[in-house]
Amino acid sequence: MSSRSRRVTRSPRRRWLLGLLVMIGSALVYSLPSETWIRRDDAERPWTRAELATLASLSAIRQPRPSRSNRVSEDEGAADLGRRLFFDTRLSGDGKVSCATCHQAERYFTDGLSSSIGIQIVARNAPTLIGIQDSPFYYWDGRKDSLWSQAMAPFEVEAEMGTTRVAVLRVVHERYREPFEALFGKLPPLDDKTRFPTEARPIPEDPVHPHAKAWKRMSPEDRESITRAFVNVGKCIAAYERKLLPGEAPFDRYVQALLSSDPAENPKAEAELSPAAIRGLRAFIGKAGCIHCHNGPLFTDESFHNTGLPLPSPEAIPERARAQGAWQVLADPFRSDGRYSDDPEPNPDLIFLNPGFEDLLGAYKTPTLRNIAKTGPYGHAGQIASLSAMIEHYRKLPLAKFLGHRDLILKPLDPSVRTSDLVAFLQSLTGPLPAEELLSGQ
Amino acid sequence: MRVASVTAWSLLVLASCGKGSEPTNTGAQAPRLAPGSAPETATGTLTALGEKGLFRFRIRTDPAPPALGDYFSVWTTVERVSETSRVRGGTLVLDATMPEHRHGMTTLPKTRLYEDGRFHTVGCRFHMHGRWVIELTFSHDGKRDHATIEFPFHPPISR
Repeated sequence: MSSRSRRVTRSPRRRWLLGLLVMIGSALVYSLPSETWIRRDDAERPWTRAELATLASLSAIRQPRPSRSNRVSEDEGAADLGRRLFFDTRLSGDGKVSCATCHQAERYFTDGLSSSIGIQIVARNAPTLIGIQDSPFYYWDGRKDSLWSQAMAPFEVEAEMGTTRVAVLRVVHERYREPFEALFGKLPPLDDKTRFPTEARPIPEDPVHPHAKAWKRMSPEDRESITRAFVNVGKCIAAYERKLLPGEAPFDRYVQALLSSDPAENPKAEAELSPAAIRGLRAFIGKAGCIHCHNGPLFTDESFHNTGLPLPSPEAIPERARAQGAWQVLADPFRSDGRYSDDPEPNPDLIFLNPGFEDLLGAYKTPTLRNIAKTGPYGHAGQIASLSAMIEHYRKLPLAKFLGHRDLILKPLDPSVRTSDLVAFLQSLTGPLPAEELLSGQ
Repeated sequence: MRVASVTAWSLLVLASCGKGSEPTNTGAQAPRLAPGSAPETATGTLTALGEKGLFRFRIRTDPAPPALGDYFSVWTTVERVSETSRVRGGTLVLDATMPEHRHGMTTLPKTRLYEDGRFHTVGCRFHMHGRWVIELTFSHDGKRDHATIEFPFHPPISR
């Protein structure tokens, strides 16, 4: 009789013993707090090579690329002037609003409000400025394609800063003339009141507005010199905003520790993220599928998606969103390949843009998730109060009134994914604020 | 009841230990090809026969494979099936779609015909991770054919 058959003969006793051991072991496992055994299953499982590559791609924060359309994008003097302009309330219609009113430094350059309040209430939520340097499009609907053209726009929106380009340049002329002229040459002779009114701007949709009429009375040459100087104000502010880079977050330290040595034996990695955050991270890149849109080191695909968020109020009118913004950016006189650009080379993002792409209807830009725990409320109109509420939206995908159709990639969140785990992971994306000297106009 | 529950949990625990459950792989997928199309991996070229059997299409992306979210171009050559010579001339429309999502690219690519008969399509971009299919419509001398080439490599989510 072979040894193998002897083992088979004894197997009933062994099976009985095995069964007993299983029952004892199971009782022990079952008696442990649920957090403990879930942690062993999910949080401590080693990452696969493919997963590690994905984690590395999420953690690789890069320096922004130089902006070809803004020749002063890397200039320290321009960035310093831009910082002072960013925080200066004199650059608004009522003298009380600055860029920093809606993009407050201590709130990670957001304002904590659903809809921002400039001179009046604004329809949209103020997104963070941290990490936006290389975005191909700006605003929730992507109606601008450069940081500098975006930075210019709020000055002349009545609900935001409610001023005019001539009035902005009057402040620059009075307060910042020396650094501005050192960068860009002489400002227009704003002292000449016969040529330059106190306030003037083009308003094509309201040509009888006093500011529009004043603008029309100026000579074409003076209008052009004012507009070019106003563009340079935007380029200085953009040079400052390019310095607002995301800081290293616990998630980044976790990934660095994982990649530096064997994760199973690396207590440093484990110390950076809680078991809940690690489970959330697994879900994020796995069965929750968040990574389909929130990818890359800034956790955004820089694209536009219709996620079917509810309207901010029952009276609100659904917006065309990107379907409108795409046409607007193509028609923008300040587009990055236009005559106000320092490098009017064709921009592929505009050349190949398909404004008629049907999925753009009701689609908004994918926000970065860097520092997301500090930048609520969420959604283009701030209609989602908390991270857990946002995850619950993705869990249920409730019917709501909106234009277009919800992105077909969206499926109700897998029931096994815990909201608390995803929230814990998202909280691990909070890094420090940018350097102290960038946080005020002083 | 409690014993049954414990036993069930035990079996589940044991089963999961033995199985060694494989984590989700979010990287590049194994090649999948549509009928009539085949990769020539040595050159990175993909081929497909038109649905009417009139033309054979060869495409090659630059870079190969394309990266998620980055622009790439496609070089296309078209041959008559009855001969093996490259067609010189004609009109090519190239698009890429995600069948599961029922949409195409967010870009409008532009195609240029070179004297040697090659078509160069610029402005393509896979903006989402997942399965992409290249669609080719070719017209020449009053004949029209259409081919579908399943893109064999899903753009990896890592970028």
